Amino acid sequence: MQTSATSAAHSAAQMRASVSALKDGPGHPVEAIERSWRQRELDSKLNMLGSVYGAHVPMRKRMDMRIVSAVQRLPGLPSSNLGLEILLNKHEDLEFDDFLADPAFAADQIDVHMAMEKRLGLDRPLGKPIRAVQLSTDGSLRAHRAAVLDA
Amino acid sequence: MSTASIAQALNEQRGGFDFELAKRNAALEGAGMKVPRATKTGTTIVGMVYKDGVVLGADTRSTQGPTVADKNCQKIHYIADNIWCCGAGTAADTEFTTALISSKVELHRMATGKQPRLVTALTMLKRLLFRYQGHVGAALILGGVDCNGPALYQVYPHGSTDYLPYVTMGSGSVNAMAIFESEYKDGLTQEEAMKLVHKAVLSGIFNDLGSGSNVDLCVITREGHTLHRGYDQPNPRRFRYPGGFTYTNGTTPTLSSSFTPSRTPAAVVGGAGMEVDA
Repeated sequence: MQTSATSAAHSAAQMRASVSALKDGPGHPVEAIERSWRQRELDSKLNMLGSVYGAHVPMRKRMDMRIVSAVQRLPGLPSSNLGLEILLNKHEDLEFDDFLADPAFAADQIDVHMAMEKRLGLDRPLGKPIRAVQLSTDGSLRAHRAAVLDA
Repeated sequence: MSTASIAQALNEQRGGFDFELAKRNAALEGAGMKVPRATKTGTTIVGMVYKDGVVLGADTRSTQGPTVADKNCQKIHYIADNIWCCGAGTAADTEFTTALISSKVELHRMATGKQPRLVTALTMLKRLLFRYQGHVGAALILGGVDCNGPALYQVYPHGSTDYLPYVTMGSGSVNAMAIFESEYKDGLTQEEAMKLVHKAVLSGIFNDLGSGSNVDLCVITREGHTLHRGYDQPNPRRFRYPGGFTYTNGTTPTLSSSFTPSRTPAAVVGGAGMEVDA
């Protein structure tokens, strides 16, 4: 890293100039991998099961998984996904997301009461329509928080 | 029926890698800023199967560009009591990949109640590395003894693997392979194997600029493992001033100094002074 005063001022100018470019630019390639790999892994696993045992096995498995994944906690509280992890044999495994940037220790956590008030429309003036909280679809924690608080 | 909702439930509120600053850093780099690079282990790591076990060997230099970042780092990592792993590439990636696999293997051992096999660790490693498409820069040599006897695997950063009687990896791999290719024989004794691995690592240390310092060895047999940390130290520090150096304040002369305020302070004309509690 350059440390002289002129180059520091230069980088500060660059930093200000490049802020506007941040929203449109392509993200990190690993970010895209992380976003999609769970579903791709699940799909290929079910495909293999279907090829070996016949179509009824992935159908039944998919039904089981959808039942257990539908049970979630109040908005803002993370589900442990125990049932789902047992079905996928992940409950005795360790991944990067089990120990890196644990949401339980995040600086900006979602307040359950606030999220619940939003969901029930208690924070709005009377007469306004009640909207259900729409959880994020891209799966990132940040988008999830934003969605819960914006709803 | 789609699996999207199931995958979404798994992704909801998970930790993992943080990409918050990735776009900003890419923009800054594009604008010409020099960004710091990860420490690499310009490396010689080797492994060899002998009659009743496996010998792993490594140098101990880690580099950051042209600078030696650590003169005595450990590149032979623990996976399980019967499995060890040499790492080359990005230092942090080899360190954390092997630590994560070690934990996964231990969980697997506790679930099955059996001694872990090399292929278990190998499959975990290659799945992880293939998933990240080479962005996790870990080139590994996995060696050990399990129910199928001694075995040695080579793992590339993109997740491909090889099963061989002797392997070398890292920037010094060509130098070490030259020794193996000329002197390897099947069915060596432990003593002969350690001597040959030692010689191969030394070849990397003295002929490859990215490798250096000491030789570490790890011997794994059916009975257990022995880690020889600092097995050979061919590059001791030659000249050392006895008692070290102490300097009095002002040893380095100040040639000039100047002070420039960031801007002219505003002058307050009239007005009452701020009230301050006594």
